[in-house]
Amino acid sequence: MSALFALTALALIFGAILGYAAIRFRVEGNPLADEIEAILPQTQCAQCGHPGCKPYAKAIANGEAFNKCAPGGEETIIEIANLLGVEPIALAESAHKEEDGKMVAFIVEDACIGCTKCIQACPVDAILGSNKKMHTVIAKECTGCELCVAPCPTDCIEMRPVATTPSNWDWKLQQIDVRIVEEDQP
Amino acid sequence: MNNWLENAKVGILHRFRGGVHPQTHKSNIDTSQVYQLTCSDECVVALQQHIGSPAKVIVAIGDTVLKGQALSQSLLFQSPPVHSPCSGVITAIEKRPSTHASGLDVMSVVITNDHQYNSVQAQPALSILDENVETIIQRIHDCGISGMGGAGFPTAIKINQSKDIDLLLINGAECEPYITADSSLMQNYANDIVSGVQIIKHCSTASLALIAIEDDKPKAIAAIRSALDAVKDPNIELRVVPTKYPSGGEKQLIQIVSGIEISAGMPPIAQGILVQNVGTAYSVFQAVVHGKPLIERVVTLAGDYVEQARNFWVPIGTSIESLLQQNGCPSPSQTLSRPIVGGAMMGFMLNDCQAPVTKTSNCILYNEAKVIKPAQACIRCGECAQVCPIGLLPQQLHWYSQSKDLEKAKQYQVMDCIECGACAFVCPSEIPLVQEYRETKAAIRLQVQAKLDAERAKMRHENRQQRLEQEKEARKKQHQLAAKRRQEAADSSDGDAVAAALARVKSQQQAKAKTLDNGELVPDNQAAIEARKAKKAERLAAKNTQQTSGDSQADLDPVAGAIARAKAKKQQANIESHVAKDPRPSKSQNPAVAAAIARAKAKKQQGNEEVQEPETSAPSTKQNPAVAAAIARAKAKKQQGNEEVQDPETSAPSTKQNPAVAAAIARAKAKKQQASAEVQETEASAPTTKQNPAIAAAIARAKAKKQQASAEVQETEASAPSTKQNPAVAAAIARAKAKKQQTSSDDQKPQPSKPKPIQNPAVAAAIARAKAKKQEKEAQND
Repeated sequence: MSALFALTALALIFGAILGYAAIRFRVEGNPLADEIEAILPQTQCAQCGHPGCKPYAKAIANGEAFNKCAPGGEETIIEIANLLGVEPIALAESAHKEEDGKMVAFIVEDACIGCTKCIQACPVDAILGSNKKMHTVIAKECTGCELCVAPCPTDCIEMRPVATTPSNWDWKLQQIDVRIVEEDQP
Repeated sequence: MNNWLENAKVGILHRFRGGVHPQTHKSNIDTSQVYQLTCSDECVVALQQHIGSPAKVIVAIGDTVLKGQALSQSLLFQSPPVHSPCSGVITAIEKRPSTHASGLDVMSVVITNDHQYNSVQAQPALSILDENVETIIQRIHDCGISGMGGAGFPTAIKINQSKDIDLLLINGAECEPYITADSSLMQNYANDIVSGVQIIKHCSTASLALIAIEDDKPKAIAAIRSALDAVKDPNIELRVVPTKYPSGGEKQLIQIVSGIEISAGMPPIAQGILVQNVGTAYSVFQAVVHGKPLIERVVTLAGDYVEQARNFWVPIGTSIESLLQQNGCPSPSQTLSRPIVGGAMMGFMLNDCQAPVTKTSNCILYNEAKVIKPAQACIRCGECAQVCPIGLLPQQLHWYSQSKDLEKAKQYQVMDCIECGACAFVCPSEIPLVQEYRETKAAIRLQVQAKLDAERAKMRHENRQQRLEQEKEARKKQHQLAAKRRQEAADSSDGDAVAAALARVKSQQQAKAKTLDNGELVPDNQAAIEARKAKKAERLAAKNTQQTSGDSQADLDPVAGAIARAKAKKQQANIESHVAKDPRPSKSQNPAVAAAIARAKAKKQQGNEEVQEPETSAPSTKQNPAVAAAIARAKAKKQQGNEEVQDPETSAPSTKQNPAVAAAIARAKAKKQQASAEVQETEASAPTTKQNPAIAAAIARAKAKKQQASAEVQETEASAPSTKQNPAVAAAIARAKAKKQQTSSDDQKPQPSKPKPIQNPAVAAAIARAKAKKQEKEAQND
């Protein structure tokens, strides 16, 4: 009988502690979604079908497939799979990249009519300009999401690869022209 | 004083771990003299030859520059400028092949050498121990000096440290095989170098300066020693360090002389140690004492294809191909090989020999091509780990680099690799280890950059979302407020000031208005009309008295007056010279005609945009009928652009029965007719409208309009009946016509300005009306 009392009392005490901890040490937001978001490339391109990287991260945390990130590609899938402790899955059909290398938007200034539509479309405020004034893309801030390309009424926005400079060169010497010499056989 | 510094002062040397002893190949290189090399015909000066950011170009294509003239400029010490190595003309500012392993094109200024070598005036010499350190540092920056040992760190930043410097270390170790540039410099310019060291020491407040030289350069050591003896500065000392590669590395040399191992990712400055190359010290001396910018440097030319390996003063910007040519070396297109820039251990093979010599190129090595055996598998012998001066595990890094495991490579501190090449040098499998590490490091750098970019993009996106949210919130709030105000206005019947004002205006209008037969409310302007009538009578009387002296103008009727005016106008146009010669009659005839002439003149003047009106400006333009009339016409023209008929109608009643309007109409019409030479018509129509000048004018105008072959006919006709009661409309149309005429024909010569000052009441009335109309229009627009 005393054992029964003791167990009940213990259960009540621990229950109270746990209940208090659940309120007191409650974690704001979804920590898993935050961790997934940290992996995502933050281009905010919405190619996954979500309006940004954060909503997509939340969707993944809620069980959505994590193979829809086009800018992230395979690497992102592997990283998320490692985080979630599951097997990596193949990249979704819709997320296949056409070409490698980071592209940034470029406004052909001659054709720009200053409609500000691209400014409204840009998720990271990387386009400068005002009504009836020529716009320009701050290449440094551009994530290459291509969201500004479609709204342009004059089709004056094109995606251009980021120029390679000695400072961001990948040091792949083999890509430079290397002469292959046949060795004379003795 | 720190313990290590005391030890360093005493001369205790330490060892760094690892290191190799490659064959130096220095014995047969002539260091006794530094030979002068001439500038190539085309000099390519890269804008960025240092770590940091390029300075802003201050020259343009086509500019003529002198030797030593600055090509770029920046206030930031991180962007030292570049200077022209020769005099000549700038032919291009474009991307040219870089002196970099990538061979990528970089922004460069291209100067076509005129071989005159006219120098800019050297900047004034500064005292070596100038009290003002800022002046010296600014001079160092302005002369474009950046580290000449290889990395190219801007010297001004390095010296201009807020942190206290304990030890100034002058790097003369020059441990790489073949390179003897610093060695020959020390041998030949030891005094200058020591002076440079003094300057840097003075600027950096270091208590001790050490010049470290490897013991395989006895001549350089002797030269520096004698220079130091001459200076007799006890705080500048010479340290002879044992020859071992890579003792010339910054961190390795610090370790040798002080025993301090600089932690990863930390600059030596953090430890209170400032390291400068001997070449930099020499350049600092040249800049401060001789005011010379950095436009040439010592370059060692050595290798199998070089007949006599020597050191040269090479103007910075000279193409490497030209350098080879001037020494009789075979062109790289003839050999299988290409020159290596920067030494056998750490240098890179040049991609394009058009690339120029830069501030950091210390050696051009032109060896015969050696067939590289394919790399074999790593046998884990561990040799590389033994020689690594940093203490890394090269073989581990090799695995991680091959498997592209960036995380693991980072864990094994690949980023601390100084790429000295010792590991690859000892590797029995001939694995190009350094190349692997470079690729890995580049990949990690890109990854880190991508992470930073992502972080930034996330922040910007979130800020944007927040901003949009705020804007939405603000809009919502505004709408709510507006709705609330409307609600309040509706609720309070008497509280709204606007509503009260509206009601007041309405009641006033109603009081003034009278109802027509068809129930339409029209303003009752009877009082105004009466006043106008009185005014008109008065004016007619005045006219009468004036015209008693006139010959043909006995008739007081305004219609007759209009006809006469029209005639006068015609006369005036046809016999311009006559009128111009004798303007008197027109003045005596009728003041209205005179006013018209004056207006014509004003019109002309206005068209020519002649501001000067010496005679007419005496009476202010407020009272100048000509100018006012012109303004009124311009306004009418503007009105015509909008709704022609409706607008003037609103102001119609006010001008009812105004003889001045009629006169204006008649004048304008006459002008028009004059253009088509049909004055008779007007004259004929005039008598029929004797009773009412306004009606007469309208009819006459309608007729004139009809004759005028234009599309406006219907519109004008339609408006004609309305002008029966609305002379103002007629006036507006007339003015518009007049305006039109003005633009088409400007043959009316300006008349002498004598008639102008005459004050015609009719003209004044027209001005007043036009003004009122304008105000009204503005009010409407508002």
